[in-house]
Amino acid sequence: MLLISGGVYKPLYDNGGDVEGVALAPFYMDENPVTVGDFLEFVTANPTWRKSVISPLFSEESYLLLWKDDLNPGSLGRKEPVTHVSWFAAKAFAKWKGNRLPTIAEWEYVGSAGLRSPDGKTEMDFQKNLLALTNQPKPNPLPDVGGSPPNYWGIRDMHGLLWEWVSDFNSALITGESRADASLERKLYCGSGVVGASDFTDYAAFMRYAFRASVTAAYSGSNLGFRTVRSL
Amino acid sequence: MRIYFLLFVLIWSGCSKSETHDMAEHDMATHDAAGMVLDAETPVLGDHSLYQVESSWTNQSGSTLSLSSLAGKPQVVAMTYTSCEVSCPRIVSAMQQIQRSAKSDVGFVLISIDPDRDTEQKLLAYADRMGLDPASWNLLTGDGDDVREMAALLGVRYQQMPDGEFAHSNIITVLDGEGVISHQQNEIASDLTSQTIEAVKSVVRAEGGLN
Repeated sequence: MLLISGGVYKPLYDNGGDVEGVALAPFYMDENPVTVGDFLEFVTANPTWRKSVISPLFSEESYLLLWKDDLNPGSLGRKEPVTHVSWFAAKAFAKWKGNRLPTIAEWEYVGSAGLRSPDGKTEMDFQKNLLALTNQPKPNPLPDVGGSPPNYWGIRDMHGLLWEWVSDFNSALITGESRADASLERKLYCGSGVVGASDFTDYAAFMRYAFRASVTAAYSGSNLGFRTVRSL
Repeated sequence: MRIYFLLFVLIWSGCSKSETHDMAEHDMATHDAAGMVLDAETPVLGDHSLYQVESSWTNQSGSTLSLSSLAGKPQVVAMTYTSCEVSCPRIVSAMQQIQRSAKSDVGFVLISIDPDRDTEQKLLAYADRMGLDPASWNLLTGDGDDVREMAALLGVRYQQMPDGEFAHSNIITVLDGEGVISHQQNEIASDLTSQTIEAVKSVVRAEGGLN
């Protein structure tokens, strides 16, 4: 794990004047996403999270979809990022490691770093490259983790390889919200609502927010993995 | 305005060449699911029981309880917070209406999404103010991670706003005696509350209770 110095994360949505941003304490973050090999160790040590026995409360049937059986990832490379894992499973893995899932603020803070500075927006073409990475077809099978150049913090594969679970994914609101439902939804999705956003240009971040708002905790998909963090 | 979002999803799923293949396998996996067995250590509860979650909560009387201690009768559950002035009183009011109409031994649970501020004293004062009798109502506060997990299980989304208030889903959930979700009401409206009342009555009937 690598140390991420504390800092201030400025949320994509200012929610009515959060100009100060979210102060983040320093934390450690996995350099790479969790791999198939890592997850094999986890299910070996934790039988209740094997695919044949996992409670349907904690995952859809697609959990570890491509694994041949409980302890056999089949043709998946051990260094490929693990996918088809639910939020519950990712959370349990992190806890088993003595870690936790990053918050949206932590993930986005690290994800906003460029190659040479904590704020990628100061680097030429940073956002254009991010959007290109986010939109490019995902290779099948997925490449091994660690393939991207390290960002300012030394963290790899934040963009272009996977969507990643965060601990508070279910803070993004789309429906049935109690206060200012329509306006929040507009902030999340609608072009005209971009006036509510703190940064008009970060479309890759908009896509991540939309994705988080679209999933449930038992969901598991072919391009959704995770990495863990630890507080100091 | 959903169009943008749908577009994202289409782009995203369209990017994965294996998606069609995945879906086919997914359908097959559904059949396997019927044969799923729980680990021997799992309590004897339905596969979908929320009571298999091992989190610890404190209620308005200061008692520590696990979710599984709520088993044995239907429970009507919502996630609210006591300093909420807009929608939470409406949620509680709908639940009180359900309580009056169900006329059975049904439990009511309010889980705080604001555990930092909602101490057991706050919960007790709130229960008194709203007239929530302790025999039927549990107002719970707990660890922030456990609250997040509970929200994930119930499909509730919430977010603290810069002013300290919370934006949150208005979901009322009916759990059967084993903790399996049998009905959810996604907003507060009288016709939907009527449906929830019917759902509670049908759970009570299914479990052999009187109403």
